[in-house]
Amino acid sequence: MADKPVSMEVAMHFGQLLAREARLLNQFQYDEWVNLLHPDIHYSVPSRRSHTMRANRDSDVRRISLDHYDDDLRILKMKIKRLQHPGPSSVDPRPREVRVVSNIEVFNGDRVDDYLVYSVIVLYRNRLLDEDGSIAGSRADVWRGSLDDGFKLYRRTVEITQNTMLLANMNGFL
Amino acid sequence: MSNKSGLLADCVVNDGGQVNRKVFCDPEIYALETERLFGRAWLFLAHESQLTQAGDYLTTFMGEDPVVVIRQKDGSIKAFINACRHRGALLVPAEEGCSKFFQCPYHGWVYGMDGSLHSVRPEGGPCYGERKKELGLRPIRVESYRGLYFGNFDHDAPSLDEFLGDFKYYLDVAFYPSPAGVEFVGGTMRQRLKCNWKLPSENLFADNYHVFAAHGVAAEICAKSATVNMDIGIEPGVSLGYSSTVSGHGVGFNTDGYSSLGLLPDPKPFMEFVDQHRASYVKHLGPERAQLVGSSVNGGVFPNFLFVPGFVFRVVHPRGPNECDMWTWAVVDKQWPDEMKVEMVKFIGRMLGTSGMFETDDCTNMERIATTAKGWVGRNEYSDYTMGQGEEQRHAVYPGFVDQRCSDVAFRGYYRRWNEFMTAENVRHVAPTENSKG
Repeated sequence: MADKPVSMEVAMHFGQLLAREARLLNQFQYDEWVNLLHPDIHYSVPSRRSHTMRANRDSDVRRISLDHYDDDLRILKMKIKRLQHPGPSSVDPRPREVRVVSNIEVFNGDRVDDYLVYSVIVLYRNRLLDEDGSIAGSRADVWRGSLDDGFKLYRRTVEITQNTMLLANMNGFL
Repeated sequence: MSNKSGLLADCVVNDGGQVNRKVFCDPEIYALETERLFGRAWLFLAHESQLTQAGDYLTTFMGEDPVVVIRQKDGSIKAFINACRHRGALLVPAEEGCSKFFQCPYHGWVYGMDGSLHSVRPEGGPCYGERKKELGLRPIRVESYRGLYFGNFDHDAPSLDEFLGDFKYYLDVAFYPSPAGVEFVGGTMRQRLKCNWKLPSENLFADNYHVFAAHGVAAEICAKSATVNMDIGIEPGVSLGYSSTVSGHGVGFNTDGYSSLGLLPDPKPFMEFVDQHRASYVKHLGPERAQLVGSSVNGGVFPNFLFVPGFVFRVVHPRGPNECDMWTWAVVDKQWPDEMKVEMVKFIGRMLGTSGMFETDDCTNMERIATTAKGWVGRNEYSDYTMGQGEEQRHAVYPGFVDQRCSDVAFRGYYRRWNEFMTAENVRHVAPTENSKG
């Protein structure tokens, strides 16, 4: 993909935006986070495979894949409702989470109001007294909007490093 | 009785109604399980749809032994210990692929897809020349039923057919609803839990009791957005379904014909498909059994292969006494159009995947059992599986010892079978004991 650089102002804006987004998720402020999502969002965290280099050609990529996330806004809202609901569940008591976002690169996208934003995220999660885990992923986002009107997350694909999910479950967003 | 009888004497008591929680944490019991249970039971390896062409392979585990499963030129499926015979290096490191040959990354020994040692490197001279025939990959006994391939380390064990017995009646519902059969699509999703492998196994096998308690929050949210009513047969005062234990295998099911579809965002195409094909299910499975297709069904082949059509298909691999890996697949009717297959794969990920509405609560509850079983008092406590004890009976239609859906009947059968495998010295004596009470 040809890199189409953006202005310093736009680049700085997205640095702040991704940091703010991580803070909202760290603080479980899901309603505010949903406000950052485009109505036609596709949120994807694919299952990662372990294939030989020779086999790893396009023709071997599955047409259909059973993924960690492959969701639209309606499904994301359902999952959020569960995460917000007190009661017997894996998120009550709430875990304690910290997200670190870095390696941010911002480019102009295919449309005038699309911005392609790459970043890296590491989620540290600790549950109950001492259940500790972390997961890292490379993100490719498309944010849609403008500096004046704000941006909404239109596409996100997170390529995590784990094949076998060692956190037991994801139970949150990257 | 074996000299291990002291270790196992009080593990499974009251016909399976109580199980000592040391079976969920004790390292000695776990070591014995790898030998007597995983060493002698039929363990799920692969479905035929995962290996379509000659040379297609996937890697998996039997107990903690790595295994490679390979489609042969003649269409048969063979399985081998996934270790070079030379020094034991893991031979096939990828999770799946297609290859005519498999070269050990350590000293370069090359094996054919039939497991034979094809060539060794010449640096060492003729040393291995005459022994090549003996140094093929360690073969595993493989037998199949309805496209499901199982492996067994024990060449004296009763056949897969005997092992499955009357449970085939129920397996057909999940894996052979019509002559077209099913396919595994979407690859394997894997997650590691910090609990004994039997806890996630028994849950899908038999635990209809937990659904509203453990998944109350998720179920309520899903039900609110559902477009059709979904009774799963365990609602208080409702007795829509049955549960049954057959030779240690377990199943729970309704007979309404639709209840597995109620949580799909748009169940209509699925319900229409079931309606259009009901006559063919009847022809293929008989009128009573045909009603199970589309109905809410959960079950498992002893000890660790689990199926909930329309929700999840799974194997639980042991990883020591206190950890396990869950491998999840989406299984769809081969006759479905592509859009329905895609929709079902997405749905399975959303419900029982690693971030699923339901799965995440299950994981946590299992790990919470593991937490209490670590204590001195905890590991000497008994888990209770007495629900419905004495109520189970033979049924005019359905095989096994049958009770209402919300019952521990399949748990008791599971743990009785576990006890048979663990205490029998001779694998021939692990033939199903269907005379024992449900």
